Amino acid sequence: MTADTPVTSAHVGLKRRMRPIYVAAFVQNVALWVPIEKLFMTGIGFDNGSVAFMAAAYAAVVPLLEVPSGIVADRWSRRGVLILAQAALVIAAVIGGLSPSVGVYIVSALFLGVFFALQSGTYESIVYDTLLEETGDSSGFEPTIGRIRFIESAGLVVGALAGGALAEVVPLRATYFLTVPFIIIGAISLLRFREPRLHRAEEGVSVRQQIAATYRTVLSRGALRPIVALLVLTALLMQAMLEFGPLWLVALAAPAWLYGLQWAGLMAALGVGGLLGGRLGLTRPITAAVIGATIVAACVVLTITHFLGPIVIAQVLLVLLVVAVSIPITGRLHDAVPSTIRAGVASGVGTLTWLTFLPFALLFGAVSDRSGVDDAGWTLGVVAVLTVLLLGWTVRGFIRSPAGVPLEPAFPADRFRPDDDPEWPGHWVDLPGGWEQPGVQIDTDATIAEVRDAITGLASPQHEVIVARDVERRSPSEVSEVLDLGPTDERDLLNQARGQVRNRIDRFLKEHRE
Amino acid sequence: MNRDLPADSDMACKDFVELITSYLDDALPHDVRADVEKHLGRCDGCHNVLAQWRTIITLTGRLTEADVDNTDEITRDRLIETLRGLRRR
Repeated sequence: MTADTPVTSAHVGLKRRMRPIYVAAFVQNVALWVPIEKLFMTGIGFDNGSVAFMAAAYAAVVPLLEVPSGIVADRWSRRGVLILAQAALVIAAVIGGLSPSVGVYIVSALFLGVFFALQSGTYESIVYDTLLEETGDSSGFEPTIGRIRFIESAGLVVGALAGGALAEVVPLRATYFLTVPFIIIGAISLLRFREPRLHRAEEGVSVRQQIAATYRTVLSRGALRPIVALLVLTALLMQAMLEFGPLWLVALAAPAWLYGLQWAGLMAALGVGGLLGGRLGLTRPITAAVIGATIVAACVVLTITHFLGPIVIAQVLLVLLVVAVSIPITGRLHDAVPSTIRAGVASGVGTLTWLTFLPFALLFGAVSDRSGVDDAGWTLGVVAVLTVLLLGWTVRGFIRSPAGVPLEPAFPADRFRPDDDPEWPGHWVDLPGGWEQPGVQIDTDATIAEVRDAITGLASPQHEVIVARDVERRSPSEVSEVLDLGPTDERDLLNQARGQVRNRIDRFLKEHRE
Repeated sequence: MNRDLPADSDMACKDFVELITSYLDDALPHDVRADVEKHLGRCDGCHNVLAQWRTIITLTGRLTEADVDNTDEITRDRLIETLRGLRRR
């Protein structure tokens, strides 16, 4: 047997196992109604104001459900949550197609929001954990999630072209109903997918603990914060282009065919950006600089040009690049998050995106109403500059510490009094008791087994550091060199790892002494 | 000395717990190390946690690489090769 054999068989296994996910990702995006949606909405009484209200309504539903659905996915079943998402999409399509009025259509949009919330972050989590199970590491995450983005965009392009063609020969409503079989095929395909089990490794964790860990991870300070912020900003730019991109065409009285071309371009950009993201060398300064400059330049073009060609190209380029950048950044997020809260954290990032998008959309709309869409483009420019600055800063962190993204503090924040506590800011709420007790032995086989399980369950960077330092007894400098970590990151990761092991042993000893 | 609660001007416990490994590695600047030791002299909770860190290090040292392996064979072999290479240097 050659050294390559296990890799090949693992990759073949991965490919076979992922096939149902690829099928589902394609068919659930063949949404035949999307290209004619605005036309249909106008026909049942929508105007600009009610369109904005509808967008706000579903944008408000998504953040309400994002994190709860992610936690359900982590605790119950990610595949199950994806199938529920398909059910919500079927309901949205049926109600949308039956809608006689604005009010009913908004109900349909709310179910679309439920679909977005349920599926957001769930695919990523499935992909990451499946990779870990099949290949033993996550190095294939970026190309695999990039491939899924490409397949999704292929579905969107096919849906856009087919929907536009169908609308010529059938009533507009029919495009909604004709979409339903595709969604059902997607659900059936998901049923054939063998779900990864990693996220069920710690079923003993209470719901309260899991919710606290999820929110703490999303909102905590530390190296994860710029990654979360960058994901929110790139998603904001992408969402803004998808929602408001056509307004540039409206302002310049573009011919109808250009709307289709622009939409197809944006959908293709989602896919090509996904593929590009899997191969992007963001740690090369020149690559990061070129991408950053192009993102800002695309926004500038949108604000100063009154020619349709450059505007469509700038929009497509902007979407392509922000999607490409988001792929490796998403990989960093998942590297830093244990499997038990993976979908919840990914959904938390989605929640922050929607919560950011809501005021941004209102601001964009207000500026656009007052002084035109090109002036509103400056709001995009500001977001783009922030994105690029943060990208530069985050990428520096990648170079300094490729794996060194802190997960959690050694102790949860609620173990300490708040910083504004009048008496003891930052001190223990309850002093930790000692483990040593007269006549009680700590180093039993059961305790050592618990330590082993705690270490095995650690996420990648901490696991590697604690094994190298405390099991293999390597020196700090040796571990820093092998794992390509700075000395501070190496100690921080080790401290977090020891802290997590300590907390587990503390629980274990308390349970066994009660 | 009252070891039940830390003094008002003392280092915060939440800052101490982030420094335990650096303290054990003797990697803290002298003034910070002095603050840590002053804090440890006053705070029973942190004193206990430091002892627990040492216990964890001892217990972890009883394990072998195979006990805590969650990587695939190829990645592990590469890591071991790299570590061997470093040792030879």
